[in-house]
Amino acid sequence: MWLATLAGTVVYLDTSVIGQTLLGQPIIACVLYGLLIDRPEVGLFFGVIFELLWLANLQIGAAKFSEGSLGALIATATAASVAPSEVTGEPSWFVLLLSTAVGLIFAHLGRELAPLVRRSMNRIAESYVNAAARNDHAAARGWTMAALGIHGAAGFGFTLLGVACGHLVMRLYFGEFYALGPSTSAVEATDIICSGMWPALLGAGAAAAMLQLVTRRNWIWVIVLGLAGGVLIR
Amino acid sequence: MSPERIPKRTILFRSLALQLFLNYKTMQGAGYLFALRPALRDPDHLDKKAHAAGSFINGHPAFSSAALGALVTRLKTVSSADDVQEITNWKRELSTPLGAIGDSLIWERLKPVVLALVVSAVLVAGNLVADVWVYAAIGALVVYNGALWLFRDWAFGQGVWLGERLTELALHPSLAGLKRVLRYAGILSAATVLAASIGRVGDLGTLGGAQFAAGFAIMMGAALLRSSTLTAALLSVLAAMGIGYLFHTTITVLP
Repeated sequence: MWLATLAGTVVYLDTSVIGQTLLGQPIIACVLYGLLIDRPEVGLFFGVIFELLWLANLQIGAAKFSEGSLGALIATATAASVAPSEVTGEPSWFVLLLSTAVGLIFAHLGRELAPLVRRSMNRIAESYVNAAARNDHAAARGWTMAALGIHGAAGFGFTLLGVACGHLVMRLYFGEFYALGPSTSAVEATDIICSGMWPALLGAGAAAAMLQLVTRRNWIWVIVLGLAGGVLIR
Repeated sequence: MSPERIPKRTILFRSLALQLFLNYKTMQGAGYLFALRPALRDPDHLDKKAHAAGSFINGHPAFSSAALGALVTRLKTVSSADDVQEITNWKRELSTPLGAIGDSLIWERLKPVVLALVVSAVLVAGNLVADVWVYAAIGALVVYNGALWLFRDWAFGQGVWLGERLTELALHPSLAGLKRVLRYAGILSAATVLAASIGRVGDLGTLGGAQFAAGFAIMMGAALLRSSTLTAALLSVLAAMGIGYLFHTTITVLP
């Protein structure tokens, strides 16, 4: 849980505060986290799904935006906390479904995180400008560290809350020994219905990519090219 | 301060933290001051220069390099409260073009194009997914950040040169060309994502195809109805489960 929280802090800092280098994007951060905990398949699943769904997530100006990257990491950490199914040797689809729901909900809740941080930054920014105006290097450095601390605490706290809720959901459903993985009967009863989430979310993600990257008059070209390309790839 | 003595690299490096002090009163203002402090060594009128540098502004972080370059030039002349007010007003006017052009080129095109291509590569990789992901992720990080760093460097120089006339940068012919290239790149990368997804779902047969189509249609409908991504994603999952249930029920019922 602590590794996930630390990773969430880095993701938050990269996506919202420093650099914005793409390192915090789901397709990179989730897979890296998955590799760290030796569950790269879980990282790839959520990296692909959340990246596509939140491709259109623009962190513009004073607008609220969903924390899709943090949601993806929370989902990855939640799913990776449960062992793979003994039936398939892969993550159970029901575990992936619950983790996706937790990740999506926290990504949406994250819309309130940036406004909260920005409001708390009003006074810090003003104090920093005043310290710089007085040429007070020590105070300016102190306010810089305070700003960094608030961002770090926001990323840390939010991820911790998300991952803890994810663990709680798993425990509520599978019981105290949830980390050992779902039972064979649970997997056999749920996989057949829950596995449909993969093509459905992939479809939703492909549509989100088209909505973000292409103007309406060119949608037809994308659909024609996509269908032709899809047939060729198969 | 002559242009040769401007600590350009230090300013550009510090400008990576432009959003550090992002707040509702001055938006990136304090972040600008943070980036520009190495250029504010001269103690004459430092308080006025600091308040001018820290006043309201908001734009795309990469495009802000042009404003930082122009500010380095303009702050040299600040010596009175009127100068501070003039620069404050000028920065406020800059916010709209800096934000609009930067957001439309980078947040809305370059960034999603690069990420969509990484996702497509992962989807078509099959058994080589681990190797493909490593190369695609490193390639994306190098291309995206390298391109933005080169742009920041160029834009900063343009800002120093243009100074008060910085808005003329919006008319630079290369920006129109870049916008056209990114538009075509957007179409290609969206088609690549769609093709890679269809190729991936193809193995799942009719049922997988129906669930894919349902997710696609729900997201398009949600966008037209201005619903959230959360709503669209959850509805897609529910629809997929419904389709799966009906499909399997049908098979069970038929002899």
